[in-house]
Amino acid sequence: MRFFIFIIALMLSPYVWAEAYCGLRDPVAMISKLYPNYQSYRSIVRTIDARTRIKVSEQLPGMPLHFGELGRHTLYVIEAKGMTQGFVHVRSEQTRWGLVEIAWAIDLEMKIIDFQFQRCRHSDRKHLETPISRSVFQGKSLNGLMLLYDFNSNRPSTAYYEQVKHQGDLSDSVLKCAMKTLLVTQIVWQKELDSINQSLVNEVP
Amino acid sequence: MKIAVQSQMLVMSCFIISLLSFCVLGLQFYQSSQTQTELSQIEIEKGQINHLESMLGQWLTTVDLFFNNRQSYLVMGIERQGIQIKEKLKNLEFSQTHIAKPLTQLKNHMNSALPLVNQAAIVGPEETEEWLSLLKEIDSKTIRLIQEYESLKQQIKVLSDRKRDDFEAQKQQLVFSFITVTVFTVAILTLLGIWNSRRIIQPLTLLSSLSDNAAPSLSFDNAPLEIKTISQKLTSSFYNLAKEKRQAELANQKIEQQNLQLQDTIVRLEETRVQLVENEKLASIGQLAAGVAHEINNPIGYVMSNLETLEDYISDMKAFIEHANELKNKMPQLNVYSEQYDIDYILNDLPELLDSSHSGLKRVKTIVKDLRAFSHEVPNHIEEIVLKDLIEQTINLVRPSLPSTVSIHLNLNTMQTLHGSATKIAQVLINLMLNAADAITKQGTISISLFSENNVIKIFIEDDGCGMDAETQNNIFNPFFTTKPVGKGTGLGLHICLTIIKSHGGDISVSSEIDKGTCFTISLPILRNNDFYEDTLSSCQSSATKSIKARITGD
Repeated sequence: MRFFIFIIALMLSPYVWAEAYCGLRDPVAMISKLYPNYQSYRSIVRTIDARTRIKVSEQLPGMPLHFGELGRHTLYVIEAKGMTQGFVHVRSEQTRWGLVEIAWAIDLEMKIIDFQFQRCRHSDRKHLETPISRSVFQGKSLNGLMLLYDFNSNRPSTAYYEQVKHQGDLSDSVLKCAMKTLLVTQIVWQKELDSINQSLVNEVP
Repeated sequence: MKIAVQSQMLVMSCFIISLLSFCVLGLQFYQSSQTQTELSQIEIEKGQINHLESMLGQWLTTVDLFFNNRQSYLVMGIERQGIQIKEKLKNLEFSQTHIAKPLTQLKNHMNSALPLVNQAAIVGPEETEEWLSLLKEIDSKTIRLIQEYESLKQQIKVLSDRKRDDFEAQKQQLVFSFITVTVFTVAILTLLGIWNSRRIIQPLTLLSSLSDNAAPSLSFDNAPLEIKTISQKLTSSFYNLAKEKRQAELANQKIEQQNLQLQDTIVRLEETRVQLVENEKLASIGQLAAGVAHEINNPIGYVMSNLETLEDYISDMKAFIEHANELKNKMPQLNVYSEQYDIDYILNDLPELLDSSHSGLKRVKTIVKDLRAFSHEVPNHIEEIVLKDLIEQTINLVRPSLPSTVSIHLNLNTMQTLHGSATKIAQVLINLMLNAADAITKQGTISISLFSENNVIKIFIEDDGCGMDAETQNNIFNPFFTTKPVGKGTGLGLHICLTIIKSHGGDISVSSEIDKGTCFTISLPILRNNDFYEDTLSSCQSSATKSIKARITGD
């Protein structure tokens, strides 16, 4: 009983989340995995606030951002040969075995390139790390990912489970995490993305 | 063996079998209950382990939050949650016994992870390397912790499934054992019952059957001593009783049969009595007729004599009157008197009157003579009989009693004689003629024929009356057989006829057809040995009497 009271108190305390921070533990190692040819990266820290939360709840109904997900977050901009290659965005998703942290590699068209688990205690992890499972996400934009989710029943579609060849808590969380990541990136880092896209247009001869 | 001992054996056998059955079923039920208890315990523990999963999830989330946000206030909560999880792990008694390894590992990882949290709480923000190292280590420990938990969960599931399978198997085995033991017990008890039945009840049943019929072949070899003793005594008693009963029943049957015979005899005696009375009447009438005939015979004698004298006188008177007629011319007065008294007519009519009187007297004389002949005045003796004359005499006697609608036609072609009793033969002829007349209901003819061939004289008495059926023809000569109403016929007439004809060495037969008529044929041999007739007559008479007597007494 005391345990639950403590958990409820913890959830309701605003001070607990005051210093929310989400980023790569070892950015070099993780970015190397996601962008083997990268040369440099820079990080842009922005705050995910209540307005973002409202926009997310509008575009992804039934999948709101929790208060724990608010706060300061880092977007890594990956560069090589003076050109922006893409982005890395780390997001946490609560699962039954604690928080799962996934580093998402996103291209300039806001499509998923790949992903890596920064933290995942699930034994099912291996099912999501297979090339087949990865290919489900690779090249998918937000709209492409949304097609794999049934918003009426608020759960991934059967087609998604068939494609990733796994059905469970972790696979659900990974899909949700991917959609939220792309949307939040577009909302929160909109200016930076526009600037990068503009600079790319200008560089084209 | 005594009944008491056998009963005790039976009861003890039933008790032991029932006890064994109960023990077998009880043991299996106990095992099944134990398994069920263990299964319940495992299920409870499974629930606790599932709850542990949510506790671990929350604890890990708190740990992750702590390491992500570096909120040192969460450390106390993480520690308290960790203690509660460890308490929970301690309470998993069944798992500690049966799946100790993953549980112990889980505890160890928990114990090693908690200090890392406390250690991280005092790491300063600038010590990024140490922080990341601790973060990496806590992730590694918690991953192994989850692995151990999942192993624990898997093993408890396997254990639960195995126990459930065991329980289901034991349940099925229990049901099977119950059915088997029940069938076995019922079979054994049935066999014991049959054995008991054969030893006690069956002998008792057999004993009771002795009351219905004596059964000397009954075997009580295997029966108890009491039943053997009782059976020996009862067998003897029931045997005697049954024997006496059978004798009594036979005696009863005999008495009933004798009663029936007696009733029959009484009826026949009554009929015989009536017949005797009739015979007596006939004898009296015969004697009377004989007396009357004797008394009439004398006046007829002198009346006939007087008639002859009167004829002579009339002849003289007639001669005198013829002479007197010669004097009519001389004596006119005489002529007047002759006409006044119609003398001529008288003279003409007198011969006719005399003849008629003479003829009537002759007829009376014949009747008287015949009456005397048939009224037993003449003793039965063998004489030479002219059958043609005897038939005519008989017709003379019978004709007055025949109705006017019956005519008689004669065809008597032989003057052959035979030796015998004319009275008896006439009795036969009268009987047959009267029967023929009775058979003619309206108008008819009785034809009597007489022929002789090959030393046999045959008399056919035939009528065109109602006839007889085959059964009547077969029985018609049996004594007391009659088709006439009660009191009108005795049924002895034709039997006596047959006896008489047989006594003359002859035979009598009948042929008849319904609504066409009947023909009796009498065959008589032409023999001249007087001794034969007398012997056969007397012997046949006695045999006829015996036959009638036999019919009366029923012997």
